[in-house]
Amino acid sequence: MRALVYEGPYRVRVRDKPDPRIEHPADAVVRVTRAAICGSDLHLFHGFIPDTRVGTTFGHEFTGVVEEVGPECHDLVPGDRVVVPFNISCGACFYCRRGLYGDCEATNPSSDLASGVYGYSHSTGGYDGAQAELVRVPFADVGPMKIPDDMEEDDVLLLTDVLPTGYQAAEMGGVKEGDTVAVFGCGPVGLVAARSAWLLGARRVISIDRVEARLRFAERWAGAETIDLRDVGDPVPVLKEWTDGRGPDVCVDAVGLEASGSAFQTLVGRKLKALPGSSIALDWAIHAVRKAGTVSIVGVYGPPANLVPIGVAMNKGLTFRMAQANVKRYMPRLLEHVRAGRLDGRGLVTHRFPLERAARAYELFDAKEDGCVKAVLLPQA
Amino acid sequence: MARRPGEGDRANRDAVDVNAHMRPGVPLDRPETFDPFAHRAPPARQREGVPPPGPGAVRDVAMRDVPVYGAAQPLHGVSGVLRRAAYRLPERGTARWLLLLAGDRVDVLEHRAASGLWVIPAAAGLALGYAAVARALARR
Repeated sequence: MRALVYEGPYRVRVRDKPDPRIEHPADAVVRVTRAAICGSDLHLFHGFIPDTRVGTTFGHEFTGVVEEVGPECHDLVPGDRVVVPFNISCGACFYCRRGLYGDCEATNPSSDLASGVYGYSHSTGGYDGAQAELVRVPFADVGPMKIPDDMEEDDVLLLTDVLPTGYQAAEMGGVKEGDTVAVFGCGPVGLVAARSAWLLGARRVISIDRVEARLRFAERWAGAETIDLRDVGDPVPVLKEWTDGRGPDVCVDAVGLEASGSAFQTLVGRKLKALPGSSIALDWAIHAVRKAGTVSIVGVYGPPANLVPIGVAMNKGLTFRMAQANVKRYMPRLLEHVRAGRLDGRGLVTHRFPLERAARAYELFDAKEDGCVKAVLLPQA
Repeated sequence: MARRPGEGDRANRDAVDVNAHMRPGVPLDRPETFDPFAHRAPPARQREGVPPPGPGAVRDVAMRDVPVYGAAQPLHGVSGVLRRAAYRLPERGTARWLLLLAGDRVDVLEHRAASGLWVIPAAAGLALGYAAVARALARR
């Protein structure tokens, strides 16, 4: 099959690779029809995530058609159209039984830090991803959801990650009626977090970024007020000024370890990689949020050491909520939002590429050129 | 510097999930339920011959019994040695992650060196061809 292959930082190519096969009786093999590039794929692309081996295929947001099923796979049959959560979950362990599918303890047994994820390094189990013609789907009866006959793949593709992660970010913030919510980052997840804050009852939603096109997208798609970091440098005083000096009730970090905004952290953490990335977005969130407010983190932070001002957070008595999204749990409710037009996942997709042009797609998405918010690969094109 | 499309307080007519019972993630720990098609007993082991991703210091006893894992790219070479050394360290330690990142960089170098090996036979062929042509020209 043809598949995107990682060859080192900033180098991906599409090459021939052996077809995936049924490794376990509960597996399925899925022919991929849509595979989005996630902002967190860029952390792999840049070489930040430990144990990313040469030869890995990225891709954890995908839809497809079931090609083959193992003998213990009873719900799916070849020909089913499916949308697949980025988490790989067994459905039966301590965590899955409680609905915490992102914490499944059966799919990455060598680690206590992360569960199985498609195409996200051997730190999350070493599963190949879906930016390819075919992908192996473990526990295929548990994770994948059949796509309703009346819906198209573009409508549901972002139920795999972006919509649940963004919604859960707002939900973890404990947004109450009348709250002010600040969202750092206007990537797809940040946009959905901002949009979801309205669904949860927010009175004001403020999005912060430094990319002009994305700020305008946030105003248009999420109905948010915006702060342009190119103009203000430090967003904390602006957020305080807009909220009677106290700060937003909830701050969402939808940026993660590659945030811009601190020359020191950019040089040492992102360029020299002497520190594990830059935590400046999280710093801002902690400093901006009002006392006894909530910081919700869905931005990816890779290695364990960082520069988080945890002493500040402690003294302010903050509540931190953070998690990988429990995608399966959110799919039914978010599907209702998609149907009702309250969450327009299709509207986030700005660029589509055939698989053979995946390297160009990564370059463009990475550079945020051409107003790119979300890029999707079409392996069957 | 900043745009405020809303004038003052805006009425929020979209707040369909304002009540906690409408939120899929509340409460965080839901009452225990099995997924309808989940295996309630430990499922069969994965097919023989697929190497595990590397023994973890945290649960290497438990993982012998776990049937499903990835291992899409087996360990190899010097990078494999570094990664195996890393897996013996606890996940809470920075040294583990630095070793893994070092293994990643060595992996790239190994890959590039291996993909550059074609240069040796190509250069040898070129040299032999040059010598043959030179010899033929000299005979004339």
